[in-house]
Parts: sequence; structure tokens; C-alpha cells
Amino acid sequence: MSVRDVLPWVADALVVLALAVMTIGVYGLRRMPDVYTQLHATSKAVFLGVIAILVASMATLEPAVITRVALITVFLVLTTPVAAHAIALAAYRLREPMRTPGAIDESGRGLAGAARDEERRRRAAGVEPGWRVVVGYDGSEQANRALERVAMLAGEDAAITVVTAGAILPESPVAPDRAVVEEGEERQRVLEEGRARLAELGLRAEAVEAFGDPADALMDVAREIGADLIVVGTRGRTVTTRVLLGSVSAKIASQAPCDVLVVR
Amino acid sequence: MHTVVFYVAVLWMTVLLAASTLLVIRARSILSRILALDMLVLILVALLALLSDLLGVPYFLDAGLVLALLSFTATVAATRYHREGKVFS
Repeated sequence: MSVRDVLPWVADALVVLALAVMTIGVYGLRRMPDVYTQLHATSKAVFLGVIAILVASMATLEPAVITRVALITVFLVLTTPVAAHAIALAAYRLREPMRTPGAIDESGRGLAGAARDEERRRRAAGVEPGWRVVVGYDGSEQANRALERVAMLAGEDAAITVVTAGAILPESPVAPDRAVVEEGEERQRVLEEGRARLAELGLRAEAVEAFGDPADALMDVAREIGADLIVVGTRGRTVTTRVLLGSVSAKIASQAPCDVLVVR
Repeated sequence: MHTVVFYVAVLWMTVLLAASTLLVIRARSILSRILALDMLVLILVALLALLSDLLGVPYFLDAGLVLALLSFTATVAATRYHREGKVFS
């Protein structure tokens, strides 16, 4: 009884094990209630089955096979957890609820348990209390309307951040004048105006001054504070933004990390 | 590996492949679908490994490696797209 005699049986056993585990994995994907638990089925069960079959196919002891199998195995071992993590991260971002009874969501996003049920119940049109809202404000009429909309929709403890971005546009043939919102003081004044208006409408807000491209600045702030909603007007105040025809809101609407409200 | 086990395994893997294709189509949310697709490719890689051993040729494993690479890249790209709205920041 040499090693060569035993190997086929070992390979057999591995294959049978792999089949069983992969079947459990596929069935698990079907039966698991949410993405987070489905991840276990694929990145643990099915993955284990695949590795077992790969190892089993090494039983022929050919160097060509062994090198290839080793390569695939190393690659899968390194990347399967990363892929699973990417999916989990996206699930958090997209607010996928956790549907298993004992789940605990520590991120404060209300994805599990009582918080989740309550949030679902409060999903009337509008911004729920506890949501974080970022409003782009440049003093224009559009921006003021955006503020009014936020005031209409916001719950009492929504955390609102007003952002004014000074765009630093390169000199262009279309718009020879440079900044969208001009000097620092002017920007501060606009911000204070925004905050005052919100205060008039009965809401507290934080004011943030941001630099660079308005769309990117707004999205950066939103990402930083983990915002749930970005509110922008369609068009701006100065010549340049009017000429650009609402490119800020378009860019934000397509690339934002969260919901976007464009106020006309 | 004995021939009987081979054929049973290939047959059963094909059934699993069909099942996971169904799961991709009937996935409840977009992320479930991405996940099911990743699993589909994993099963495919295993199937290719089996066939490679059955037919005695090593190059099916090359195809398996490429599939694994593509699946990983696709999963990461798709999840980034759904998170941020674009793939490259």
C-alpha cells in the first residue's frame, strides 16, 4: 500500500466532502434572509468546497497541474475575503436591512432589530429625525428654495450641514471671471446667511466652508460625515454657474454616495 | 480519483451550476445578485478543475484562473459602483 495507491481514495473523499459542502452553500444562499448571512454561505461554504476540489485534482501529481492549482488556490484564498468584504461594505452603504432576529447593528444606521422596524415605520416621505443632511448653499434664489425644502422635510433632530463651496475655475473663454463665490469673507457671509435662514425656519445647522469644485466638495463633505441626503438647487447665482446649466446638481445626482434631492 | 466519483461529481456540479444560475436570476437585491454571480464563478472554477483532471489536460485550469480573476474584479467593481456611483475615485 503506497502513497500512490492511497491518493485516489483521498481525492475521492475530498470530492465527496466538497460536493456536500457546496450543496449546503448553494442551499444556504437560497435560504438565508439577508445579504450579510448569504455572505457566509458563499465565502465560507462554497469556497471551502472549491478549494477541496482543487486540492483533490492535485492527486495526479503532475507538475503542470500542481503549479496551476497552487496558483488558483492562493489567488482564491487571498481574494474571496476581499470580495466578501466589498459586498458587506456596499450593503452597509445601501442600507440593506439585517433580517436575522438576533442581529445587532453597531453602526447606528438602524439596520437591525427594533431600530430597523421603527425606521421602516417612519418611512413617510421626508427626512426622518436623526438623518444627516448636507445642503449646498451659495446665496442664490435656488439655494434659498433648497433651504426651505429642507426645512419642510426635516425632522426635529435631523443634523443639517450647510456647505458653501468656492469654485476655483481656471480661466476659460466662456467665463473670464474666476471664482463662483468670491473672497473668503464673502463666503463666510453667505454661509452665515444660509444658517440664519435655516434658523428662521426653525432648524439648527452647521456651516462648512469647502473649496474646489462645488460638486466634489459637497460629496466629500457628505462622505466625511456619513450623510444620508444631499440637497442642491438646480442652478447657481453667478454667470459661470448659470452658464454651466446646473452641472453641479447633475454631477452630484449621478455620483453621490447617498440620496440626492434636487430642488427646482 | 476513481472514474465513478468523477462522473457523479461532474453531474452534481452541473446541477449546482444550474441552481446558482437560478439564484442569480431570482436574487432579491442587487447585492445578492452580485454575490450569487461570484458564487456561480466559484462553482465554475471547481467544475473546470474536475474536468481538467478527468480529461487529463492542464489547460482548463488556466481558464479557471482567468475566471477567478475576472469574477473578483467584477465583484469589487460592481460593489464600488453601487456604493459610490462610480468605479474609480
